[in-house]
Order: sequence, then structure tokens, then C-alpha cells
Amino acid sequence: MRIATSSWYRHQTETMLDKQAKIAGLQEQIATGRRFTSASADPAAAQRADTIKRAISDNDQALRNSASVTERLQASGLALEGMSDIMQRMNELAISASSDTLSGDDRRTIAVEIDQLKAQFLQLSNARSADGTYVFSGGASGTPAFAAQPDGSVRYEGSGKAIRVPVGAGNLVAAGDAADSFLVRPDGEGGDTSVFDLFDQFSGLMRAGDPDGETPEQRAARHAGMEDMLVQLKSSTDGIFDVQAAQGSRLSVLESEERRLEDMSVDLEATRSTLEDTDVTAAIVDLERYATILKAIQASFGKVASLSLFDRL
Amino acid sequence: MNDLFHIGASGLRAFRAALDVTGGNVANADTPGYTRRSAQISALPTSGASGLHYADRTSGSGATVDGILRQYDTFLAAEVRTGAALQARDTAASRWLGELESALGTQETGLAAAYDRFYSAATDLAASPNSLSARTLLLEVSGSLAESFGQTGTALGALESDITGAMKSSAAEANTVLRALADINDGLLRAKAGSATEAGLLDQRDQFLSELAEFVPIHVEENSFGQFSVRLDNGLGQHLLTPSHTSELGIGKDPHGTPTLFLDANFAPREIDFPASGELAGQRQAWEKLSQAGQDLDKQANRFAQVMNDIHAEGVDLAGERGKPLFATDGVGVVAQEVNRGDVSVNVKTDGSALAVDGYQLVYDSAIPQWTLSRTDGTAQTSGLGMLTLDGMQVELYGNARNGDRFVLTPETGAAHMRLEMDDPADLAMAAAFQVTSSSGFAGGATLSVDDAAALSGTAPHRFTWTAADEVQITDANDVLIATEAFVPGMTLEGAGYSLTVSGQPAVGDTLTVSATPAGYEDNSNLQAMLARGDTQQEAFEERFAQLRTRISSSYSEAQRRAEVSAIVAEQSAMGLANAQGVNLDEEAANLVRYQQGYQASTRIIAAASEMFDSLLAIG
Repeated sequence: MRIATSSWYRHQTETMLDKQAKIAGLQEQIATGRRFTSASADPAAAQRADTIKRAISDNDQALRNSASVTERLQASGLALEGMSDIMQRMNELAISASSDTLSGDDRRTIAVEIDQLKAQFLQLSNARSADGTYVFSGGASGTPAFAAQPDGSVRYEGSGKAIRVPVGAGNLVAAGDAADSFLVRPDGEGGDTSVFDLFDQFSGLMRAGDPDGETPEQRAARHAGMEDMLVQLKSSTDGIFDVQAAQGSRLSVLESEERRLEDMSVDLEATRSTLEDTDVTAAIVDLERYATILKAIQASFGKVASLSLFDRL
Repeated sequence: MNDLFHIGASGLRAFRAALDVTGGNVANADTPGYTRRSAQISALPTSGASGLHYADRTSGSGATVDGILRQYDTFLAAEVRTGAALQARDTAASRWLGELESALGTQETGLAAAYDRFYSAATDLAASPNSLSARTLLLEVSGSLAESFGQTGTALGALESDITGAMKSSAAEANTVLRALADINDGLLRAKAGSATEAGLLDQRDQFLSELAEFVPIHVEENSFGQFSVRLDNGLGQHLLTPSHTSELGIGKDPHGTPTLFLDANFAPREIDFPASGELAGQRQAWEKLSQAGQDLDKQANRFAQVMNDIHAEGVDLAGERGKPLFATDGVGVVAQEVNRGDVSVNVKTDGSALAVDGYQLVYDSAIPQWTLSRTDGTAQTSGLGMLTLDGMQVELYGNARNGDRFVLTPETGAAHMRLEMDDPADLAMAAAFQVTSSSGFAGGATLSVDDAAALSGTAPHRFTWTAADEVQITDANDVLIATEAFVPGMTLEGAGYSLTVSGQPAVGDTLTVSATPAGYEDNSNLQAMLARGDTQQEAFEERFAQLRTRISSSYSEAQRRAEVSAIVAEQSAMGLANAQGVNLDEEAANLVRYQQGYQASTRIIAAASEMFDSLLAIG
């Protein structure tokens, strides 16, 4: 075959430039850690990698919401624990208040403690989470769940239910429980009665008797009242326990969901890496290969280019 | 002896000419487009004057140079032009698709990233819907989402006009080449056949033909006068160039803004289809993809804005008021007329008033001087300089105008106009407009949908009480009986601004109370409705944009592959032609030795003739 001198030179130059471009491409892959910088280099892989990136981002988001719900549930969990402790103490006081031998001083001491317990309970039932929302107010989370009225009674002022928060894969988890589901119940006369009325009832009974000695009627009323009190305390305590249990199981669901999301993100990240990231070993082997070829081309170019008939004339 | 002198001298002349040609070949060994020459030498027949008696014994009277021959291969040259046209098409298409791909961004940049941040921030807000900082964040990412839509839409629009501009300059370059070819055609008519001038002109012709083939595919025909014609290689074979006429190319626009190709643009313009190869074909292909991508993006922007606004309007904000529009995509498209001579730029702002559907015209009259902005249907107009206002639309004009400059203003919607309409985070309507409270142990399910039902009078909130399995009584806030309805499970009860669908069978005495959501109520139902719509098959906004990007990336990748293949094919045929007609220095060196020896031998012939002459003289 006849070869024109100029096209031989051009062909040699282009072969070398082509190898240099390949080497530069591999160097970029190694330097950036990415197998490609634009999706068109491998549209199928880029599309899958992008889908995975969106899934990882969704997972990260779900984990944030999960943490947020966990935080609210933990805030209400602490309050519920305090409430059940107070109930426990109320129970003890009700048992001792049922005793026959109870002096006027004893009754007054109990009444004072009950008043303190009530104030503590009010504080607990108006617990707030870190973001400032009242955890037992339902949808009206900007206002305290219970408020003391001018007449000394305490009324529920929340409304509706707590928000349900998306925590990934279409799961919605209630971020709390409104107090009207366990601290308030109908009084059977068209109105509501709350756990705070129990405190008032208790302290009322303690203050009913004459300070210097109860009459037999007063004592009988105290006995009957305390019996009823123990029953009502038990039902209120059970209500608190139920909510604690429900929230506990929600927290454990969140915890296992978090673990699942974290595991999934690790798997997704691994898949993304195989799709997108440079296989450094393979890239370096390729780089060596092209460098060897380029060296060979350069050496043979020098040899062949120096062969000219004009040199022999 | 006289003959031998002549023969020797003719040999000297012939080899001298061959050496000149070799010298020329060596000198042009690296000249682009140079075709290797050779001297065409033939034997001279016996001249009659030398005497009849020698006629049948001599071998002629020497050699003569007939002309300079170009080592030209018509078939290979045509193949190179075909290859160049295909390569130019694929390279142009690939180049513009590459621009399009980068305009659409990646998952980490641009619109895709903005979508991701929007959904992240919205879902974050779902965990604490009344938090002002979370609301502010959502508002901010909504703003940057709108901005990303705007930037992407504007970038696609700019690319569209860039491609049209590139098509125009391609056509202009092709026309320059056509005019150069016409000049060469004239020169060829005058050049002597076989002359070095003709060979030089033909070299130039082939060079220009290859250049022309990069713009449009061509077919070349030579006529008997050494001239040539160029046809478009598109099946119809319209003439681009004949010895008497040059038909220039032109780029125009049809009413839909699609670029069109004109032939004979200067004399009798007629529209033709874009050919299948050449740079113009590649630009046209890329324009098609770009235009589709732009339309798709506009649809996505409009749909997203509409769905978000619709759902947002069904909810209530922190003040308990219904949601106002979040996004807007309406605006005015400005198209300058092709023939405008001034350099005026037009900036349009709208205030949301209704614009005329048929659009507006903006024309400059230098006599007064003033701009006139008029509705296209002619029902209203206004005139002035600097700033014009019509139908709530403010048109600002910058730059120097020339008489008759004209712009067409059309109301349109799309990505480029997308913007956020809200600036107060408290205005985000994340809560449902109504809250449904059921009596404890309510046996059934209730779904509320917001509408404009007005079935109930009285003071809200209304209470729905089941007085029998098949009867519901509705009372208002003051316990006044408003209505009594027959009930079957699954039926929809109309309320005031809402409808209530009740599934299952509520027991007698069960109640549902529907009240308007009060200010500051913590509820993320409406936000969840907004998020859910983006998740469904038809409205997967994020996914649809990802699909658009994948489609363009695949097109670009395919175009790159085609460009690589056609570059190899073009390179091979160019190499084939170069090898056939280019200069090989070793070959020339061998020729040099050969012709030099022939030249020296010819001098020996003359010396021999001289010696013979001297010998004859010595006899005397």
C-alpha cells in the first residue's frame, strides 16, 4: 500500500494523541474518584445511581423525622413516669388516709402533700418537648394542656390529636398522646372530669373533719371516700400505664425502623459506589497499559521517521 | 547527427520538467489539499523533414512533455465528502446535546438537587408543622426550587436561540464557500487543460468542496469544459452551484419558531427539507431534542405549580386562614422580529392582571419618535418612550431603536417564569381546613374533603349525630337542629365548605363534630397531602425530571457514540484519499535519482552527437 508522507505523520500524531487522551481520562477518574463526570458517559448507571441517591436522601430525611418523633415521645415518656410516681404516692397516701388512727395534724399534713402533688402533676401534664410544643395538648400543641381556673379547679384546654409524622416508607407515627385520652373522662352528667378533680376530692376529704377530732360521720365519710379514691386512682394509673406502654412500643418500632433505614443506606451507598466510583485498581492497570503502548509508539515513531531515502543520496 | 542533438535536447527538456514536478511535490509534501503531480511524457514521432530514407529505421525524434497530471481519484474524493458530511452532523448534534445535558444539571446540582431539598425540608416540617424555623427553611428551598426551574428554563431558551444562531452562521459559512467555488468555476473556464494553473485551481476546488460537504451533503458533476456543478445530495438533488448560478442557503423560522432551511435565499427563496447529513442536519436534530426538552420542562413546572397551589389552597395557615398561591409560572414571552436593526432589549413585568390572549405588538416609529404597544386584536394601545404600561404589564425598553423595529409579546407559562409567591413562613397552609372529632368508640371511618358545598346553615361547628342506623341529625353550635338525613354506609354528607364521606355503620348515639381548624393548631395533614401528590404515579415530579435528564443523557451518549464512529469512518476515507494523492518523500527521492540519471544520460547523448560531428570533420 502506498502511504503519503504527510498522512503517515498525521496518523502517528493522532495515535499518540488518542492514547494521551485515554491516559488523561483515567487520571481524572483516579483523581476525582468518579468513573464518569457526566451522566451521558453511562446513562443507565447514572440513572440508577441518581435513584439510589434520592433513596439515600429520603432515608436521611426519615431518620431526622424519626429522631424528632423520638424526642417528643421521650419528653412525654419522662412526664408519664413522673405522673405514675405521683399516682403511686397518692395510692400510698390513700391507704394511710384510710387508717382509723389519724390525727387532725396527720390529715392536714396529707392534705398539704396532696396539694403539692397536684401542682407537680399539673407541671408534668404541661410538659414540653425540645421544640417547645406541649406534648399532651393534642393538635393545640401551642397551649398548655391543663390550666388552673379562677375557682382553683384545673381544666383540659387542648384539642384534637397529636400530629402523625411520616418516618419513611409511608409509615406515620403519632408524635404524642393528647391528655384527654387518659387523664380526662366524661363525668356522666354531660361534662368532663379530670385526674385533677381526684386531687381536689382527696384534699377535700382530708380537710373535711374537725381538726381536733372527727365525728363518727366524718370518719365514715373519709373511709368511704378513700375506698372510692383507691378505685379511681387505680383506673387513672392504669390509663397512664397504657399510654406509657403504647408510647414505648412506638419508640421500639421507631428504633428498629431507624436500624433498618441505616442498614439500607449502607447497602444503597455500596451499590451507588459500584455504579459511580472509580475502580482504582482497574484504572491503574489500564493506565499502565496505555502508558506502555504510548512509549512503544513513541519509540517506533522515532525509528521509522529517521528512515528517509534522502539521507542516502 | 542533427537528429541525435534534437533527441538529446528533448530528453533534457523532458527530464528537466519531471525534475521540476518532483521538486514541486517535495516542496508541497505537507500542503493540505495538494494532489501529487507527475509530468506526462510521451515519445515524439519521427519528423518528416529529417529525410525519407531514415523514416522506417529511427525510433522517433525524442520525448515531449504533454502536461502535468494530477493523481486525482474522483471516487475516493466523493467518499471523503460523504464521510465529512456524516461526521459534521454527528459532531454538531453531539456538541449541542452536551450543552443540553449540562443545562439540565446533575442529581447534586440544579433542579434535581432543588427538588430533593424541597421534599426534604417539607418532610422535615411534617415533624414539627408549627415550627417557624422549619417553615422558613421550607420557604427558602421553595424559593430556590422556583429559581432552579427559572434558571433551567432560561438556559434551555438561550440554548434554543444559540442553536438557531449557529445554524445561521453555518449557512453563512457554506455560502462563503459556495461563492469561492463559483470563482474557481470561472477560473477553470479560462485555464488551459493540463496546465499547472488548472491543477492548482482543481486542488482548491477539491479543498472547498470538502469544506462545503461539512455543512450539507453534496454531489459533484464535471462538464466537458472542465467546469463543475454541485447538487444537494438529498434525493431531490437541487443545484447549489452551476457554472452560471449560485444558490445560497438561508435559515428562517416557521410560525411555531421551528428553524427552516431556504434555498436560493438571495433570489427566489424556497423552503426545503433539512438534508440527512452535514452540520446543519446535526444542529436541526439537536434543536428538536432541545425543543422537546423545553416543552417537557414547561409542562412539569406548570403542573407542579398548579398541583401545589391547589392543595395549598385547601389547607389553612398559622392564622387559620386558607392557603394563598405558592408558585406562579405565568409571564410574557418576547420575540424580536428577525429584521430588527436596532439593539433594543425588552424587559416585561406583570402584576397578575389578565393579559390579552392574542398577545401584544411593540413597534418603534422614529418619526415621532415613540414606541407603540398595542393589543394584537387592536382593542387597546399605548405609546411612549422608556417605559410603557398596558393591562397591568410594564414594558421597559433599553438600547437604541431603529425605525420599524418590532417585538411580539405573548402571555405564556413555563419554567422560565416560575417564582415563589409567598414571603411569610406563617402563610404556609400546612394544616387541614377542618378537624373531625368523633365520639369515643365511633364505629366507622370518616373522610373529609374540602369543597364549596353549602348544604348546612347555622353556626359552625356542626355535629352529626346518628339517631338511628339509617338516620343522621345535624345540629349547629347552639344545638339547633339544622337537618335530618337518611344514611347508608359509604355515603357522602354535604356540609359547609366540605363533604364528609362516612364508611361503616356508626351506632346509634355516635357523633362526629366538624370544626374549622383554629389558628395555631398543630396539624400536618395538608402538608402530607402535598407530599403525597408528588409521590403518586402520575405526579412523580422529581421522578419525571429525572426521566427527562436520563432521556437527554442517553441521547447525548448515543450521539457521542455515533460521532466517534463517523469520525473513524471519515478519518479512514480521508486517509485513503490522502494516501492515493498525497506525496511520499521516499518515492520522490527515488524519482529524483531516476530523473537526474536520465538528465545526465541525455547530456551524454548530446556529447556523443558532438563527438560524432567532430569525427566527421576530422575526416575532412
